[in-house]
Amino acid sequence: MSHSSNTETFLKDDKKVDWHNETLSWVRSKRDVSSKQIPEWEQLRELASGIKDNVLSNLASYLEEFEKNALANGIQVHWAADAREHNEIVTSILQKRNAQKLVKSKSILTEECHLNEHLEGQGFEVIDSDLGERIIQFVKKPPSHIVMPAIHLKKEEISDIFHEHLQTEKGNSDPQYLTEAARLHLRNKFIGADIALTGVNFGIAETGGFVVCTNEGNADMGVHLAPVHIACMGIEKLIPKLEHLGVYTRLLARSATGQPITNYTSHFHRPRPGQEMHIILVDNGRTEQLSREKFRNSLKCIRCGACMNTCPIYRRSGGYSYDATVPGPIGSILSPGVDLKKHQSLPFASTLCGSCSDVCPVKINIHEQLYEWRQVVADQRLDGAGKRMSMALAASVLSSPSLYNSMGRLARKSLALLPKFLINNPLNAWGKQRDLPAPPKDSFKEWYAKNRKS
Amino acid sequence: MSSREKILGSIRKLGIKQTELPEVPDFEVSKNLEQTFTTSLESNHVTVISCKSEKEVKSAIADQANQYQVVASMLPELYPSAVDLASVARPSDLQNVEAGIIRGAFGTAENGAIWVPENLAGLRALPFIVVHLIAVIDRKTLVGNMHQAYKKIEEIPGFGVFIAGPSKTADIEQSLVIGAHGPKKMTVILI
Repeated sequence: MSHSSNTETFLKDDKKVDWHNETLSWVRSKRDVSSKQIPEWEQLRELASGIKDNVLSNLASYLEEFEKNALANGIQVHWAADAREHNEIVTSILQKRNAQKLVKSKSILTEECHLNEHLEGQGFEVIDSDLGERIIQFVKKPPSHIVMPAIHLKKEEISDIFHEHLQTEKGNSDPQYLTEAARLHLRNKFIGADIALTGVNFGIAETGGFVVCTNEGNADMGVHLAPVHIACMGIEKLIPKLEHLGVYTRLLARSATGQPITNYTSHFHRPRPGQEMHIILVDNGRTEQLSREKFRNSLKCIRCGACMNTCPIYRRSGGYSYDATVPGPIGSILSPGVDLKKHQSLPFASTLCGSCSDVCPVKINIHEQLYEWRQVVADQRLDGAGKRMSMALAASVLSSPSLYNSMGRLARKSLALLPKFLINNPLNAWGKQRDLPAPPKDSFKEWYAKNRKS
Repeated sequence: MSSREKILGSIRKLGIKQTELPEVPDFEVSKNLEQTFTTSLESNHVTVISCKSEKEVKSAIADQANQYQVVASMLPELYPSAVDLASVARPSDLQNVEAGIIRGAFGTAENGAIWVPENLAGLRALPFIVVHLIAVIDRKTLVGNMHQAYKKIEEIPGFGVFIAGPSKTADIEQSLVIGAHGPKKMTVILI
């Protein structure tokens, strides 16, 4: 299914689309206010991008340095070439510990690896502890946004979900009330968990530790109570030194939600006495993306979601229309690298306005990469025969001045005479919400010849 | 071949030309660190109480903590602890602690972030599991921004956290709710 056909479901509810659009736009404007409080903002973006350039150009050595230091800190380090291996490593840790219950904080990487389904299939209990993630886990859906996983749901819908799963009062959709119910429910899950799993925002090569950022404190609630902590990390999440966190912690939350920093920025270097700490370093297509020079710097992404909040297409089509782990502009340049055939429509789900690149805290040239992917899609003839034929036709007209002039004359005459249903009919997607403008009498060339030739 | 070798090998094979690591310069910071720190915290739903003497600190803590039955204090010289943190067998035993009193190592003016290494938290879980977190900060320790903050961390603890406010969420329609999992209230006492 293409992005545009997936979008139709979301577009059925006009009011909800407007709400989604305006809410994300509001988050984007909070980002603007927050970033402007820092005079050196542009310099920070430049630094963040430059530091990641250095990481990506020296990734193998940084990984080795990270591993060496993490091991010295008493952290067990695992390497996973792909999602399957990642999931098997998690399972083997669970089995070794004779564990049944796992609490998770937000990890887009485990979404990418479909870890929950894998573990549930083997009979383990998996509880997502981020409020937004818990909501969508109840209805067995993936996140529709990487920072705000349940942004596509209205509070009335969440009230219904909680009424069914947490026995809250029917029809009570007060966010305070619903959050309190989730708090009580999850508190018990934290206390009963055998293993806590987190994602990783930053791994520090120099110190062999890692950083997890949350506002809810759910990652910390999980790992500080459970006897085992598993952290899952994409290999591109490394930064060279502790001091570089100064750059990224200033950019991340301001870009994501407009707050100056997440309420909890937790630094893990050693397990607490009696605790086990594991880190899984995951490739799953990242080294392949690294090998594509034009798309390499998509790996700089720190998952703030700013490109989604600003994207006119994302805001009006919703996260599910992308049918990919990471939706929005950044997802549309990452996903084709994973499965080009499945995700071939995503590079076209953009106006190429460039707003995504403007807000990106690590200066990824997202809109340029979208354009590059379009060319890859066309070169591999994945874009459909209809589109190829019309492009070939357009090319022949545009390359011949006489054909161009005569086609123009024909169009100006015939458009005025064409019945409206030829444009506005169910077969013509373009005509769904558009009308043709009245055709001008003359082309610019003809007009110029009449009016300017003295 | 192990996955480790496979991953490292396929990265090395690319022969990417190494780029230089940029230097992070010093940036200008607020001229009034205490005021900026206070504003940052207050705009993030933290109550800030400014004290001039230890006596004032004691009474400020008492004002906050007296309403609770179970208070865990890492600063017994300022407020008595009802919980002996050294003898807590499992961290989940802290679940009935209502208030926690800790000292922060230092505060960061630009965002209100307070550095709490594990030795100041007592137990790693304490700052997260209590309903009301009370943190005492020496105003002399304040730094301007996160670059200065990371320079100030000389010894890296097994666990350390920057705390900038109470546990919060906006996952339901972007409506802010304080007290998602951890503290529903946070008070910072400046001395």
